[in-house]
Amino acid sequence: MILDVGHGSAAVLIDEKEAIVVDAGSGDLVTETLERFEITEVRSLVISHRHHDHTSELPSLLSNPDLEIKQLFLNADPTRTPSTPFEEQLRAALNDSVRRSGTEFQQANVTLGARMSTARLTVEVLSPSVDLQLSGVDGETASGEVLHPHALAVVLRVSVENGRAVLLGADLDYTRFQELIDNDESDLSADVLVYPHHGGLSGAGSESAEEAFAGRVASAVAPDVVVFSNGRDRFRNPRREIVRGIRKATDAKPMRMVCTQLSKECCAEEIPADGRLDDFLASAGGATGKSCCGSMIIDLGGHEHLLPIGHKHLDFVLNTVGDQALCLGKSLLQGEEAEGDVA
Amino acid sequence: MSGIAGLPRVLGLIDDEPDLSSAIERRLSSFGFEVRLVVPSGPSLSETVTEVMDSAEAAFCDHYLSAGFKVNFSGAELVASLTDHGFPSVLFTGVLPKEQYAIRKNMASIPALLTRDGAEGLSGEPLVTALKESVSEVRDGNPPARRRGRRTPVTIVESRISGTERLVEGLVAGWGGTEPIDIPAELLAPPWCEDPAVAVGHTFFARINISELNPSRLFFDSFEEDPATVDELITDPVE
Repeated sequence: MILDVGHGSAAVLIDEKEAIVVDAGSGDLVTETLERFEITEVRSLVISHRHHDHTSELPSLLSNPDLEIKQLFLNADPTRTPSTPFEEQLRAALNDSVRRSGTEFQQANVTLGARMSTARLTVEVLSPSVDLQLSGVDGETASGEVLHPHALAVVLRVSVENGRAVLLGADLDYTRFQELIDNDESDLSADVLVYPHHGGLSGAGSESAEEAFAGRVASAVAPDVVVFSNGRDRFRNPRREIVRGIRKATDAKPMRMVCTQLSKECCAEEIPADGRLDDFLASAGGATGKSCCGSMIIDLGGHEHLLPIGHKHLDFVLNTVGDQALCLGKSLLQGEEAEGDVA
Repeated sequence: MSGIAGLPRVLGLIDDEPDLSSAIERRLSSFGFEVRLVVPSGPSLSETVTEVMDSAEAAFCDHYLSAGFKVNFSGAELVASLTDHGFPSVLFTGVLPKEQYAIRKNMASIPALLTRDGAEGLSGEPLVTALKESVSEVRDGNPPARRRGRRTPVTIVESRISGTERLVEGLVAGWGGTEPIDIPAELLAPPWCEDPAVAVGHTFFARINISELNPSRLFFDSFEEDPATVDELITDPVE
């Protein structure tokens, strides 16, 4: 499941009665989702990086007496100020979880995917590399670049036996994602791509560079579904040039783009209608009327479509949002012929 | 009409202001509920709980009861006690900021709270919605998401006195807002509640409904010290 946490990230991958949780970006939505699916054991809780939109639920998750978290993967970040209340709370909660559940605490890099995996969910850590982790956040590369937290974001590819896979792009920056694309040993192919940085800027530079980069990402992953874990907020994600780059790169392939919340780029006015695919799932936008797809189930098991009841999204967009919806593609190609690929 | 399916039909109304109670009675009656005014016969909370439960199936209760009744408890305490007895009830009140400390002490057991604007709203919908939520939480054990308590860290950043109330201000992990929340110091466990200034800078665990967006509706209970804080106390005891 990709959860609608607004601007942020949280994903829950369920294998029978245990789960892998990747990021914990808001309120208590991960907790509520685990409760709804009667999950009491988290095999691996992986935090891609230490920014608040990926960590805000982490202290309460670790403090939950009804939840056993076996392993926490959390990378060090010296740019965090240890004396802030949040860092104090994280320290208290992690120690509490270690005392109560024996949680193993370790840092994540490409060598540790197997440790995160469950019986049926195979995890590969695509980034950070060992070299990057040796430098660390705020450290320097051999070329003298000071590493931003996004450079060390943990990117995962999670697959099942039938070959279906999801790539969770975290907030990985342009340089590191380009290195992944250029590295022949990295298998980036996935049926579902959760696009990096909520569809926001990657650091590629100009608008045209962002568009070109998005196209290269989409070509390398070749997804059937692209998910933007975005908020209906001032960031206005996903960015127009990124959607355009993906659309152009995948023109020949039926592909669905979905957002957790209704971007202001698609519709500036409040829409009273509820676009959520599944109102059983907790969504941050559900309570505030901001959802587009809301939280969504991705069916890697192959029993259903990748995005069950995904047609509801198309109905919502066509009938309620209209031609300005970025995912329809009609408003993207200014000066070019609009192509109404609504697959 | 005979009320709304699935909800109690006979409602008790405890309010010492006749003008307000008649407005609420009229609105609830328009939905088909039978509304019975309950006048406490004595100052005791337990006797009033019995009187309410004997005369109705659910209740609406004003927070301020002392103007017209000779009682020594607040509506918040009455609703909390009714909740503890598995009896659905709704608390309504006037200006919330003035009363929030007394209400917050009991908020964990107040399943529905309406401000006077809500209670006198244009229609009775807020009243019925509040009753539905109370019944769902108290009778069916199914509170809405924003009423579910989560054990989470809370860091005390300030202590102060407001009127006669000793308060601490706490930053709550996982809550959507960023501002510190006023917490009655008596909710902290001893020795912290006796000298709340000592709690400043320390982190505790408490059960808090962190998905509630409205800070006035947050509840706090089951405070525990972070063991690291206790360790500090052992080496540097509170005087």
